[in-house]
Amino acid sequence: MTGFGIKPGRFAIVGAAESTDIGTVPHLSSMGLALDGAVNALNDAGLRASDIDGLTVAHLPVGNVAQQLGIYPRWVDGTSIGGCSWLYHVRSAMAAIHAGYCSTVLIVYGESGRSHGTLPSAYDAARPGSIEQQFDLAYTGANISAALFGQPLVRYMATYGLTEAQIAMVPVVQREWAAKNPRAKLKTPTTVEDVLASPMIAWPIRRAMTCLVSDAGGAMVVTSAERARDFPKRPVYVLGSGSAIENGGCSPAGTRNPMEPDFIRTSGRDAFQSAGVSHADIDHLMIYDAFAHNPIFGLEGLGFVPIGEAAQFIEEGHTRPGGKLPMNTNGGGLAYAHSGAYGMLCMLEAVRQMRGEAAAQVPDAKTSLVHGWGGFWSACATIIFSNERP
Amino acid sequence: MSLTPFALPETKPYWDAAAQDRLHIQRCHDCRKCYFPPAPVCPHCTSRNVVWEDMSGRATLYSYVITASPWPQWDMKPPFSVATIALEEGPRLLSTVVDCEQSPFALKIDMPLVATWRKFGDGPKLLCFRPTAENRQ
Repeated sequence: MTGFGIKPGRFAIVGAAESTDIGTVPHLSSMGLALDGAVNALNDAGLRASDIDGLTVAHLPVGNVAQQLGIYPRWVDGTSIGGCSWLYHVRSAMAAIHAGYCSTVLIVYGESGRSHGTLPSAYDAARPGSIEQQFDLAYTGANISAALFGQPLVRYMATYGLTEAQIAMVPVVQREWAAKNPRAKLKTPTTVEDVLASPMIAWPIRRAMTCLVSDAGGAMVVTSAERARDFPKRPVYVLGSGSAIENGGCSPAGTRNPMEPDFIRTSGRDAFQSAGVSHADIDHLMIYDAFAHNPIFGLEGLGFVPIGEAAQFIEEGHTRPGGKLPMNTNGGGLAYAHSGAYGMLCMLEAVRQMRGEAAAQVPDAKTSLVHGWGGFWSACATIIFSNERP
Repeated sequence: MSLTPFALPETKPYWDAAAQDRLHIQRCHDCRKCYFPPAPVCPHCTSRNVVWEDMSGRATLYSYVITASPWPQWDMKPPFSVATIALEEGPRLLSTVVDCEQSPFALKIDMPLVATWRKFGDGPKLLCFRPTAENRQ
């Protein structure tokens, strides 16, 4: 492999928080949720706005966020590639600090997916003349996400024999995690029968296989490991990271290998190689679950299990509480919260696990891998965290 | 959002042809590969030496879902398929399969299809696909 310029543990998360309220928050827009999460993260780090000299924001105008927080950054990144954007921002923030462009980066997320979904935020793939508006959205029907995310799934079912009951096991297991989490939306247990009896969205995807629609915000502070010891909370080090993108957001039809996407393989490979750890070293896993089948494709794409075997791995209980690879321990987008672009909430659960302050804490977890998807089968980013500096 | 496709200079030949029931996309004159969506550069070899061609219309069903919600903007009633179509010439694109029972039993992965054009509601003619005559349910 070619060397990565940033060695494992050179950078750390020193502040991290969600917005004060998540779920249904009608008194805040996407911007309001973002600002609330940002202030909580600054307080968590014991920092003032004037301590921040780098800012990243996805799907909101980065300049407006800077102005409204009273931050005057000398470096920004507004890369907006869907739900994995904030994982991508961790990578670019480390690179920027490494290059000397800034020293302390605030990564900001806010999305009023439930209460004010039509206000500026998230995707605008429907712009007249966009590739998606011309060639995808005319066909998707009202359930755009399910129609597009489902494309790789049905061919996979025909190829590997994945059944609807096996897909239904994903929300069943994640409800077990959500039951331990007071902030989770869906805390009651569910069964395969319940999932398969929920309303059809787009065959084979049913409502209980679909993420929630929530309001949420959150933010994190990234700085160098040398400075990380000076903060009130235990630093969470970044061991490694990866990312990749293949299309503009809506076009799974154009993805080279829909059942085995190259972008997740590239992202996962680079994360493991730059971290210098192997799959057996991962104690805790977050795989963005926009739909129940995303963790199935994620477990395989990241190399935790061979292709065609992830559903069996979940059925066998390896990802549930007490299993050998605890996954989506906040309950996931299926049961915790999901605003539309969920990657920041995945990372914040990983940070809580690494600090030892998660609602459903995995005992003795030292490493956490977070994987985010972006768009509808178009992009990925992966971060490997640890609470120990190598 | 407006569903009526808004053509750009780079995509207008596709939409002009669609209005005449022709599937017109680009082939790279250098590497000979076809590609989609329309663009002035071949994504396979970065050549700008590309030409428009009528495709055969022959294709297979790469994958799909069957949506359960109505689509009032196009006056489409469920169930209807949202499908990834693999053109015989190589590119894959999103479309729908018509003239076929909209069920997992009738819609078979890799089944042969042929292009057809339909108007939905007030929209323009859209490229759709139907089973080949020998494969009709």
